[in-house]
Amino acid sequence: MTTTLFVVALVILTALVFDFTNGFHDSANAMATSVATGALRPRTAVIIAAILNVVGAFLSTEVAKTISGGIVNDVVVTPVMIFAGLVGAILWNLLTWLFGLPSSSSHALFGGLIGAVLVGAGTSGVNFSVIVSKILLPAVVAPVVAGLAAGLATLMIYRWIRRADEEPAARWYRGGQTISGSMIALAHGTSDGQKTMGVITLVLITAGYQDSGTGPQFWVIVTAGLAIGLGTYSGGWRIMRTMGKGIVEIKAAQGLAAETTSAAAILASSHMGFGLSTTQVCAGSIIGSGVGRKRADVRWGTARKMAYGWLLTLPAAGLVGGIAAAIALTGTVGVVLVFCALVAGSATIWTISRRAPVSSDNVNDSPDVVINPEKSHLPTPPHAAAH
Amino acid sequence: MKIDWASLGLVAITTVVAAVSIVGIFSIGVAALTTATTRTSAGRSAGVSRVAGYGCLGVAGLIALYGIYLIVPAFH
Repeated sequence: MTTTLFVVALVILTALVFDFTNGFHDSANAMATSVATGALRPRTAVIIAAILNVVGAFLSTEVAKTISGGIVNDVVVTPVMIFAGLVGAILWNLLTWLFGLPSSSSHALFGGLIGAVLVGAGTSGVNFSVIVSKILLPAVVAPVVAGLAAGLATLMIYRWIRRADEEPAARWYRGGQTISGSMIALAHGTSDGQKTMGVITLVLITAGYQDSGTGPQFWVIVTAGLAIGLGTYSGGWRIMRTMGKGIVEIKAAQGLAAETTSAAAILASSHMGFGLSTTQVCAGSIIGSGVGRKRADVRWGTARKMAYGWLLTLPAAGLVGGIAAAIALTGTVGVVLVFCALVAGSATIWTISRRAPVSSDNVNDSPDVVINPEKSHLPTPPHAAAH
Repeated sequence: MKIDWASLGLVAITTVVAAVSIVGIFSIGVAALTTATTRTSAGRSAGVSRVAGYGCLGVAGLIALYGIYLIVPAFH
C-alpha cells in the first residue's frame, strides 16, 4: 500500500509540475501583445495574468469528465500511464520554451498520453479518429479563423482612424488591451487550471483514495490553481518575446484587435462545442493583425517555425511519453528512473537556456530567442535539439 | 469519423463577427474621443463627440462584462 501511495504522490507532483509549465507556456497568450505595445509593464502583466489564472481555476466548479476528451480510452488508463504522459508533455513544453516556440500545452498532454497508452494498452486504447477531429482539424482551423478575424478588425481600424498609432488614440487602445488581455487570462484559468485538477482527481480515484464520481478535493483545487498561477507569474519570457516581438511589430490598436479576436474565439469555441487551442488562436490573431496593418512586416520565418512546432508536438510528446511508459510500467524502480530522467532533462534544458536568458528586463529588446549566442546568426530548427 | 462542421462554422462566424463588431465599436469611440481632444485643444467645444466616444467605450465594456459572464460557470 505504501508503494501505491508513493507512486500516487509522484504522479501528483508531476501533474503539478506540468501545470506550472502550462502556466508559463501560456502566459504569453494573454499578455505578450500588451507587453510588446507597452500597455502593461512586463512584471505587472504577469502578475495580473497569474492572479486571473488562479481566480479562474477557483471559479470553475465543474470537473473535467474525461482527462482527454475521448482521445484515449480513460477506462484503460492507469496512474503510471498518466505519469508517463505527463513526463512527455513536460519535456516537450520545456523544449519548445527553450526555442521560444508557443505550442499548445493541451496538445503536449494529449500527445504524451497517447504515447503512454499506446505502449501500455495498445492501439485499442487510442481513438485515432478523435485525434483528427479534436486535434488536427482544430489546429488548422484555429489560426485561420483567428487570423482572418484579427486581420479584418485591424484593417478596419486603420481604414477608419488614420492616426490610430498616435496619441491620444494609442493611449485608448493600450487601455483597452489591459481589459482584453485580462479576459484571455481569466478564460485560460478556468479551462487549463481545471485540466490538472481533473488529472489529479482521476489518479486519486483509480488508486482508490477517492470515491468515483466525486469532484476534486479542496487541496487539489488550491495546489493546482497555485501551480498554474506561479507558472504564469514566472513569465515564460522566451515565448513572450516570440509572440510579442518575433512574429510582427505590434502597435497598440493592432494589439487590441488581436487580443479581442483571441478572447472572442476562445469564448466562442468553449461555448459552441468546437474546442480550439488558446495558443494557436492567439498566434493566429497576432499574424492576422500583422497582415491587416499594411506597414507591418510579418516575419513568416517565425510563423513557419511555429507551425513546425505544432506539427511536432503530438508525435514528439508521444514518443517521450511512450518511452517513459515502457520504463515506468516495469515497476516502482522504473517509475523512479523516469522521474530522475525528467529532473535531469529539465535541468539540462534550463542550463542551456541560461546561455542566452530572456527575462522581464530584456523581453522586448530583440525579436529573436537564441540558443547558442556564438552562432546566433544561424537560426536553429526546433528538431535539432531533439536528439 | 465525425466532424462537427456546424459547430466549426458557427465558431468561425461568431469569432469574425464578434471581433470585428467589438473592435469596431471601440474604434468609433476612440475616433470620437480623438476628435473631442483635437477640438478642445483648438479652443472649440468638444460637442457631442466626447459623449458619443464614452458611450461607445461603455458599450464595448458591457460586451466585456458579458464575456466575464460567459467565462464564470456560476453565472449560468
